[in-house]
Amino acid sequence: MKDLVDFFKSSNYDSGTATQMIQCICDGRSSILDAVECLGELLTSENSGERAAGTRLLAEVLHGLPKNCLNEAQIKFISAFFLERMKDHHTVIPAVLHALPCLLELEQISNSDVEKLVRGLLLEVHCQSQLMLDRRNYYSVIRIAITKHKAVIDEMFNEFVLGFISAADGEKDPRNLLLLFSLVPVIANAGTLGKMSEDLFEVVAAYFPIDFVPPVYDPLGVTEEDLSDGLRQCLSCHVGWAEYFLPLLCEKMESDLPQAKKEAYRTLILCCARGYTSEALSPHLTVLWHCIRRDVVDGSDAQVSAVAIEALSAVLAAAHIKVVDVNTVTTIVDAIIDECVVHLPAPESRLFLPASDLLTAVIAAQECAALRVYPKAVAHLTEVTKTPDSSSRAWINVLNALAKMASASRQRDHCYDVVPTEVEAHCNACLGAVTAALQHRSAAVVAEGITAARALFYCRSAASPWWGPLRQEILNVLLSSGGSDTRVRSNALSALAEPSDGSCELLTQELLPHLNVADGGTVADGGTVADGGTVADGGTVADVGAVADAVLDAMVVLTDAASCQRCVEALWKAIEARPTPALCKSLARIIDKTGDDAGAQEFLFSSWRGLEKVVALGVMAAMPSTALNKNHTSNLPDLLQQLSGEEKLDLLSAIAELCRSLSAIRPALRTPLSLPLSCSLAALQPAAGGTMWQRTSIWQPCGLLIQRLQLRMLLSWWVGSINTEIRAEYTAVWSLDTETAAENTALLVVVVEGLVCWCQDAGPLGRPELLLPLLRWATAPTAPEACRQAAVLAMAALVNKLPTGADFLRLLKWLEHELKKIMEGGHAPHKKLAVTLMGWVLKALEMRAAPETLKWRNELQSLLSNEELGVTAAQCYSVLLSDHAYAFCASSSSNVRLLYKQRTFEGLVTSLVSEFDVSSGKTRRCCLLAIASLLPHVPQPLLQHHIDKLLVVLVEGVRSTAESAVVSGSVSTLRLLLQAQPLPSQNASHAGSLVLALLALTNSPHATKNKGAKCFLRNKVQNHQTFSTKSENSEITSSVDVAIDDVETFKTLVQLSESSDEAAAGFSLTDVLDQKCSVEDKGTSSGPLLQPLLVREASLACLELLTQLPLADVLPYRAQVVRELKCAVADHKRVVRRAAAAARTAWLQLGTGPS
Amino acid sequence: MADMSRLENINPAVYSKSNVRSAAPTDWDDDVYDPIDAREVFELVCDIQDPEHPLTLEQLNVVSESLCYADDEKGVVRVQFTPTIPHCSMAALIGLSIRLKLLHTLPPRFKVSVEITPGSHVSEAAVNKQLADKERVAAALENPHLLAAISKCLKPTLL
Repeated sequence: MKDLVDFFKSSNYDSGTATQMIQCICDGRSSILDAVECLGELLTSENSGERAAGTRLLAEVLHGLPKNCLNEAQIKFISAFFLERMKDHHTVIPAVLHALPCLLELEQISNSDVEKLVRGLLLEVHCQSQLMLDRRNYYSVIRIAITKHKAVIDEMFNEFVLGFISAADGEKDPRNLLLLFSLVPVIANAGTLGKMSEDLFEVVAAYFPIDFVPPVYDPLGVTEEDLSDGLRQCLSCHVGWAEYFLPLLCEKMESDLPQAKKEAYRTLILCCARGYTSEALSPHLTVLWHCIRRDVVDGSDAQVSAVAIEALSAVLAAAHIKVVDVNTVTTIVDAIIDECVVHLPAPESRLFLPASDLLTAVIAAQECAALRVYPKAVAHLTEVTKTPDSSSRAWINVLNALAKMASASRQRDHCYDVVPTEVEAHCNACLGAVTAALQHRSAAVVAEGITAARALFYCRSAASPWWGPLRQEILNVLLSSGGSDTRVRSNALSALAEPSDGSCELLTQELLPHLNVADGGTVADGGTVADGGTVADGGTVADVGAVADAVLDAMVVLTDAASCQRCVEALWKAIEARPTPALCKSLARIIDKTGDDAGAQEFLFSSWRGLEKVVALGVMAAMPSTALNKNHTSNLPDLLQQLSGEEKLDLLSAIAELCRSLSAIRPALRTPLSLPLSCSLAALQPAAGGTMWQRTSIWQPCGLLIQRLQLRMLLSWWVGSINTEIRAEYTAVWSLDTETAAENTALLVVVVEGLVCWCQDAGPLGRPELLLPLLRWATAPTAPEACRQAAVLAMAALVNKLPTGADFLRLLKWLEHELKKIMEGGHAPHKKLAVTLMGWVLKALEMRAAPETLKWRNELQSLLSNEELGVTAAQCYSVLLSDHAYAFCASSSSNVRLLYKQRTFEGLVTSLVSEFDVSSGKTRRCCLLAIASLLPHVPQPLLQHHIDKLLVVLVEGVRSTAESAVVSGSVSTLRLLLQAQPLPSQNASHAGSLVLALLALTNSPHATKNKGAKCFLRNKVQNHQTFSTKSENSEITSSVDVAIDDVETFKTLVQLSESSDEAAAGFSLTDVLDQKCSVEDKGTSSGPLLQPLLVREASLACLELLTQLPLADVLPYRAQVVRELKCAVADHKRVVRRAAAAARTAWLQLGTGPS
Repeated sequence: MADMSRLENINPAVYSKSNVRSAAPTDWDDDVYDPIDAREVFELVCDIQDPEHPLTLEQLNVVSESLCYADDEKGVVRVQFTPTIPHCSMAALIGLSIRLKLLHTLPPRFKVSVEITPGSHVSEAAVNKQLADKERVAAALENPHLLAAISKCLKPTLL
């Protein structure tokens, strides 16, 4: 130990000594007393620095020792030492404060030692003279004392509180304040504060409301929200403080600062929730009401209004607890009623909404208050609905208020079991209003009436006598012409979807009859009623397609497991009578909804034999007209024959949905489906021609069917069972010759794409005879674009779906080898297509998180520096994170690992940005293009994490003139970032560069005038294309030259030419202008290019969002932006003008308000 | 609602906001010229805040699409506004706000006139004269207090 201490002194207080001393003591080689003895020279030195170092060393040793290491005598000795050191020089105090927390936590410490230490600390050490960390230690000692040694503190509670108040008073560090705010409630509720209650309150109340701006690089991340929440908890912890705190709250509520108001209301709500009662609140009720009323009525800040209304509810609820003076509370409630109710008869007036909100808050507060308010409010509100000339807006406001009051009433009870008594008492008046609303001519009123009916009369568990008839009424509205309005339909369907008695009756008595078909007739589904066919129940439903959809929507909403069988059978009957997409989709939705029920499943698959029926229908729909069996028992073949190609495709898509719904219930279901599939595939091709193969919806049912088959069998079956005409072409696919590829051959590539994209098990498809043709198609410059894309997709889908193993590795190796061969020996277009394929393969690998991903990633990135292929490689990055329309998603059974986008982006962004930083010239531009291609597809929250490094790239991207894709990608990404949140303040330094770069994109005056004039002229000559003036051609050309810079002159020229009597002599002003503009658009003339519409609009939106940056960063550019946006507001496109107007207004407002 | 007594019109009627302009198929076609029409002018002024109430001029029916006029070819824009009450002392301020907003957001080739709807205000002629007088408008905008009040009305609400 002695040696260690000597080393400590000689090594200028080496920090590792403490660890070695702790080791010695723990090993039993020495004791704490030995340590003190050895340190004696240091501890008793006349040099305060040496004493501080010795004390610090001892404190660190104490920190490292186990809590049970020291006995009571040793602790007493050490305590006495530290107690003595408290009176020492100020440089020694930090070491003492460092030691005290661990001393108090020692298990064997006696109460007397605790008392001495705490008393000594409070008396001898002045907390606020210490550094932040030492003050933190000080508060830690207090925390340990009050939590672990409460018995000791109770004995000296008054001194303790007094000491704490003295110590904490004036604390400024946010980290320490958080600790203090957690300590105060413990101390306040630990004993009787007596006269010190107000003092303790004052210590924390001084911080209310918190106004804190975190430093830029705050490693601890203390936010204003943390402090506000801590202070709120602290101030509301003690009911005894109400007498001091409520006046303070009222004062803050009267402040001009919205933030102070909000904080005051939030704290008041918390106080009421944590024990404030009538006794505390009564003296301040009137003042509180006045503050709340003013803020709600003023309404200039919606957040303040909302929180004030919430506070009113909280205050009134608390004021009804342990009521000491009933009159005070009653008077306030009466005052609220008197002031608010007078505005209810005028629902269009400005004060109606605040008044109804305040009354709603009272209803939500307490039963007695609600009983006083509700009758008066309902009476006034329903009276308005009886006025014949009430406007739609009045109706909407009244119904909305009624609904809110009813909802508030239910929330208060926290119970949905009973109809609130208030509603019952006034149900007739409300029922009259709601019924009248449902019959109103305005769809908006009807929609609001449905919402109000639901809020007023629907109870989840109790049977309401009014809800049944109202439900019937709502259904009638839905089925009438009112159902064509989207709001009415949405609200009605939501209301009908509420579980309630009588759903089954409603379904069978009101809806199913609409599907009944009389002899030879057709059903309601937007189609016309066929001759002789009748639609049950009036038949009006069939007349309007939208209403027929409403029947089906309502049917889906009302069907449950119990009524599933009846509904499915009726729908199927209707489908057999007239198969339409809407009917099939509705059936699919019903199956989706009820499929979880065992009884429904039994019915669907056993008694009803759903899958067989659906597949049979699908096959029949897919077969060519000539192949349909005319001897079928029903008239279905005739109906299908009448369908056009497009109609047939829509029907097939709907049947696909049915297949999916059924197979989703029983994924393991195996059905012998080879025959239907063969018919489908054979029938599809000749029926609809090439475009049919492009419809992805076809592949969903096929894919699902394929899942249930042995794929190997399927492929072999294909060759044998597809009709002769196609078989010949099919053979050609495998021995692909792209030069002579016929159209049908190309279509078969799309078939393969469909198979690969939609199958679940791609194992059998990884055959060489399939891979080689696919590769050739994917990299053949002469192949049609659609087929090439299909081959690329199929290849990538194979890479994504092939199970991990030897086949997969072989495929990758083969691909790598083949692509390398093309890169080394192919022509330029061939090579570019190979790079594109590489991009898609990388996407497939990224999605399945294969270990080989890194190699392919590096390979693609290395191509960025390739002179010939750099741009193509950069463009490939756009596919890596983008969502494909139908492939590479969960519904196509792709292998997508969790967080694929995050993982891919994180893996790519760092290396791309590094490459961007170190490279130059074309490689740097390619990196920029790659990043700009990647960013628009990255989820916004991910971007936020990389904003530091991306911002530089974005700024350069926005300023880029080389590639329009770079500019477009950068601007759209920037807009996303700025919309989510303003730039962090540390990035605000880029504001200047951004503003200038964005300004350049908004428009150049020259380009705008040219383009505007050109568009104007084009509009003018749309009808009479050519005209001339009396002047010679050359004169006109020079006129255009002059006019092009001045739209007004130009227009005059056009008007002159229009009024000319002379016939056109083969000269067109448009041609001259087109020629001139095209020259200027190419940048050969003065003036920059006109940016694309989307870029102009997005850059203006970004400019508007930049005004949210700190004023100091953007104010210097105000004048320039305002001046240059003068040109953008004259853009020839309305969307750009709108964005420019918003941006210019925002910039003009900079520095004019408190913000 | 006693605190509202300082206002001239304590409880004005509130109107619904008009529907969003329906998108045209040529909206995003850069080769088609979109002329400035009455609806566009209305959209520029509809979100100006009322000086007294936390509502827009559209919500108070001070401005409406039917009272806006625009002729793109002739470069003429005319806006009539209707104060909520005939003796509204804020009429001039509202008129100035509308005028300033149009000045900032319309192409400079447009001649803008802002007037009170005939018969809707007791000082109609005086206010109209003031709003039509460029020098008086310019002088008014140099008054910092007035400019602050107008800025408050024009304050944009970001998404």
